[in-house]
Amino acid sequence: MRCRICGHETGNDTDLCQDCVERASDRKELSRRRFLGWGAVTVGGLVGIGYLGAALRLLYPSSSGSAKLQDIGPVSNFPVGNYVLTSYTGDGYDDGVYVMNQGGGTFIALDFHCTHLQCPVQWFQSLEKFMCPCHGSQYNKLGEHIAGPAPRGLFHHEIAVQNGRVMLGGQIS
Amino acid sequence: MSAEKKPRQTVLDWLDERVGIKPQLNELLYHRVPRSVNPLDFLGLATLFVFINQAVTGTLLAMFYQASSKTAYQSIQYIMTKVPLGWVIRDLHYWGANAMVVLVAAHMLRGFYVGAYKKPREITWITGVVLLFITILFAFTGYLLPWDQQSYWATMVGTWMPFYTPFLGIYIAYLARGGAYISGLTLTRFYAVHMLVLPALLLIFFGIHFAMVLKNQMLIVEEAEAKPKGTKGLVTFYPYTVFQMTMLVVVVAAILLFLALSFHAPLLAPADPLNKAHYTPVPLWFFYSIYQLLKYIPPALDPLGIIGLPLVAVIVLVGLPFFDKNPRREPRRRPFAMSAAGVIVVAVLGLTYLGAEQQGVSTSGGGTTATTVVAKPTFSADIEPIFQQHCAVCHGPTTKSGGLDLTSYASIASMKVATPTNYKQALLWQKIEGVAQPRMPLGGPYLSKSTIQTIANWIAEGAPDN
Repeated sequence: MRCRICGHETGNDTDLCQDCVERASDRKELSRRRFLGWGAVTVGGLVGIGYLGAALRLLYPSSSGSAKLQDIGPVSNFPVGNYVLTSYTGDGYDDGVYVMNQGGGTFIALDFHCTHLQCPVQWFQSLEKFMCPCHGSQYNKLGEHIAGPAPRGLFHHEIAVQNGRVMLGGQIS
Repeated sequence: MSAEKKPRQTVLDWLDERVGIKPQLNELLYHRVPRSVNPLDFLGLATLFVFINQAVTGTLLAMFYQASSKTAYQSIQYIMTKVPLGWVIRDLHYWGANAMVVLVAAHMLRGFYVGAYKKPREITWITGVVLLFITILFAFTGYLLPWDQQSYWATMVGTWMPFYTPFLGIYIAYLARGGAYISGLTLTRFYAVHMLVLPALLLIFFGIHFAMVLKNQMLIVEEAEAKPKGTKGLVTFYPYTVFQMTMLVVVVAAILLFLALSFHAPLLAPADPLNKAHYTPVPLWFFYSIYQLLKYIPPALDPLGIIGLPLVAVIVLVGLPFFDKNPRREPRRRPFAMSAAGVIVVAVLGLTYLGAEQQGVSTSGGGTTATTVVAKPTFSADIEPIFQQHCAVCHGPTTKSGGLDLTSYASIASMKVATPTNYKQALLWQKIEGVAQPRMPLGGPYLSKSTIQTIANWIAEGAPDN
């Protein structure tokens, strides 16, 4: 059997080895030593977890999708049927967004990072396609995936027209 | 009573009285080693020297570098143009970083070849594997710091690769970036990791690694010590081996300095998150093999290539001393381990070479860098390599953009892009010359004039399949 204090083999069927019994002045001392030993490990562990938790909380970014709409210019800046590359300013970063006026007051806003490995896609009006220079992924005019290794279509951004101004929001899906 | 004459006390005696280092020092300096040692057995020392080079040049760079997305690029320009010898220091740091990766890998292969991972040296091997990963993280975090197009977009792709980890992917990617995309926040956390976390980790693991080498001795030392005293060909470590080691350090330092003075570390245009100039991202060279592999496997298997394979590599490397229980060390007595390692090394080197070809790093045939026109080009020797290098990403067997696969002669013939023989009317020529829009390769960089002329000559010859 193993000693419950030091973990060494006791050599008989008691759970305390002779050494530990001799080192302790009485039975009470034994449980005190065990308590202090485990106590040191627990307190040390808690301090460590505290630091780790605080570090992760500090380093993990807060969600960005709910940021308020940003003014990217008057409707007249966006010709019907062609994409314009604009920028959405997130929490500390600039994000390229292709915006197209679909006519009739509706707009579509597509994030310009390929969904495969986030290379910047490029819009080709003559082909009516978005193409990625890295691994050849392609998307149609609505940002739907049509070729290459990308796992899904381009991400959409929130977009609205308010008082004749085009308002761009964070990434939604 | 006459006073006993005291022996003169040296500094070493004084120190020994308080610290007690003399026996260890004697053992360290005067243990027996073979007179001639294979320089490959000193690769660890060479790595250590290059690390010291990194620490010194890195500290100097940090005294001028300004880690913010607004100032990082300008501060690198300042270092390169205004600071006396600034460019040499930056180039030494750049080449040192590349040399670290190469030397750590070579050191590891040597350790594998001589069987230095076997009992009792398992801990030396495992800490060595950890040091390899720390080195790669050093290179990866340092790469972003110049904040140019190359570093910005390589980091964008590199930090997105963990996205393919099941369940945790997006969290790891966001944690690495400090946001949804690369930003000034990414730069500062990469800088903190590069300057504080990784050096601390490296010193801890190097300490264990080195202590285990001292404790268990190097293999050659163990063999030498086992021989009877006075055996021919044995010398003491100091000064013989120490002199050889110093010579090796001089050679490594000379190579680094030569590289630094001859080939400058690149600095492209400043990072542009909107990529208005249509820069095409390029991975770090030691990721070329994964990059190239992704082109050969179907997209559905991407997570396996991006996460699975590197994970298997980690498990195999760390677990090697436990998987390989064969006690023999001689390479000839370990046919399975040697041939498995050989296949892996050849595969990684081959993929890296192919990846480099794709990047136009070492173009043997045509390419953006080609300056000679081939008058009578053949498809297999002259034309296909150009297509492979510049077109195959979109016009390959799986992507087939517009239905065209330029890596297959049958596809080129059936799509009639290289006809008629008046090449100016052939769609292929019109596209690469820019007569027909959009010009190819899409988004550039476009082919050099001589490469385009070589293709024109091939079309004029009737676009033969030769």
